[in-house]
Amino acid sequence: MLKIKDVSKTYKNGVNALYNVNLFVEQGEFVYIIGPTGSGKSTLIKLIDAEEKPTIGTVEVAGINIGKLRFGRIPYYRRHIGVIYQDFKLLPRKTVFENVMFALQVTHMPLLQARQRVREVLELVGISEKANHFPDQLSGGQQQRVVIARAIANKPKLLIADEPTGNLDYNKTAEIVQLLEKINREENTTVLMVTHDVNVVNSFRKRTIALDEGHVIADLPDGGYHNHE
Amino acid sequence: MNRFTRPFKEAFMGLYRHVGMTFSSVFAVTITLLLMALFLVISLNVKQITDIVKSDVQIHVQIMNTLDEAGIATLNTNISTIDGVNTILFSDKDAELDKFIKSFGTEGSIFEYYRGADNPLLNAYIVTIKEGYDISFISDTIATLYGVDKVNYGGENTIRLIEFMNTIRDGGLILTLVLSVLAIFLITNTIKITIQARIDEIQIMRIIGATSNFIRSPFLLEGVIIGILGALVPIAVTVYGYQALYQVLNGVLITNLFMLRPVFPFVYQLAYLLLIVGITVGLVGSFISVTRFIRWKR
Repeated sequence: MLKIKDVSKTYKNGVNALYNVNLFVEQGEFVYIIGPTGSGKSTLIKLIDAEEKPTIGTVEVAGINIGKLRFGRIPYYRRHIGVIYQDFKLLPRKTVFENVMFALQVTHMPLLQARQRVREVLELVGISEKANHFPDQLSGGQQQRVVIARAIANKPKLLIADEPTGNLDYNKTAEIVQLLEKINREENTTVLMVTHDVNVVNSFRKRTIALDEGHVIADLPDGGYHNHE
Repeated sequence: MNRFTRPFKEAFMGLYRHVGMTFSSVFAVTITLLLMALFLVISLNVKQITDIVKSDVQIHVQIMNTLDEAGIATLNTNISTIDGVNTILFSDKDAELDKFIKSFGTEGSIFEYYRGADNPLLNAYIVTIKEGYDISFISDTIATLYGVDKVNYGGENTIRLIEFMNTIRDGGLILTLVLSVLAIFLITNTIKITIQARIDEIQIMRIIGATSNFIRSPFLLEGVIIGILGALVPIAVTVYGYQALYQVLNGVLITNLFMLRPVFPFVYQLAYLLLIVGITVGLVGSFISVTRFIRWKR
């Protein structure tokens, strides 16, 4: 599913973000990527969602070589991956329903089919009753559910969650992680969750990959991570 | 909202949200196109007039009576070797008399008496010159050739008139270009503001896999709409204004030499042109904005 082979990334300003990273994730896996600020987590995501190209090595998602992707093909590739950010990035003037609908309009899905799918994903993330509310009428946890609904609306093969619980308290965090688990289970979506929250990693044990200063320092199949600092 | 109506809806929304900027851009296009229409009306009519006047700009070379046919042929060759000569037409005594009689209108018939052996007029060459050449210089050169009796041309005034009219035309063209650039600049700013108001939306569109064209199309359409709105008033003014002008002046300017272009299809051609220029200006303005302010990173 995800094959990262001998990848190094040096930015134009000379910053080395990743050194010789090798990473293989199977379809349907749920993987944590953990590491402190500046460890290269964000760069890893940017390589996967085609925002950046690797300086050395190859990044392959579902058989597509991301570094070789032509500019014009990138949008079509992005429809196969869902990305969730810490800051929710919802459109304030659109309702919950419209926000999710927006992701499907972009792909020109027929209207009736799109509506059906929006209802489906809102049901899945448990926010159907808020469909006609605007984002600012929702709590942080609810907004994050809408973002998740939008990210999975296109039935992506891979879901990247970049610090999805960064702004949430522990209870809400647990709910979101459980929701991601549910999506992983029910839609067979590969989930890549980036976090620096050791509590989460230890409470919901999954395969855990630890990054530090651009190196993979641990790949624990059974999860559980001890901070050595 | 399907894929065809979406850009339209969003374009109108964008314009509506920044109605002040929209208005100033439309106004800029209107002013530009109004002036452009004015200069087009003037210069296209001037062109018509200069074309008429230019046809009078020819050198009338009278040939000595003593010259035989071979001499006349040699003279033709000699004239044709002068740089800038366009055409040479031989007009014999009889043809010259015809023209002379014609120039007197109905009263010319009294000169019929001179037809035949008593014709006092001379054979002549009518020489036209290529554009951009100095008619007085060429005419002086012809006058020095063997067998030439007398040389006449329209004179300096004709030349000055043409030059003056060309200046008007060129000045109008330059002013219109400058104003177009100004209009494009204003449109660029308007679109920039609507883009900045929707930068979050653009970012989200990227995340969820919107193509560049999907993101771009509403903004480009905004520019086109500004261009069309800006062209409406100038088109109306041109179509009705020129019609009224034509009626008031009865189709001529001062003398019959200066005939105005007939109203139709002239005003329709102008209207199309203004519309196309308006759309182009709008499109160029928004395109500049879109390429500059939506950063096309991967």
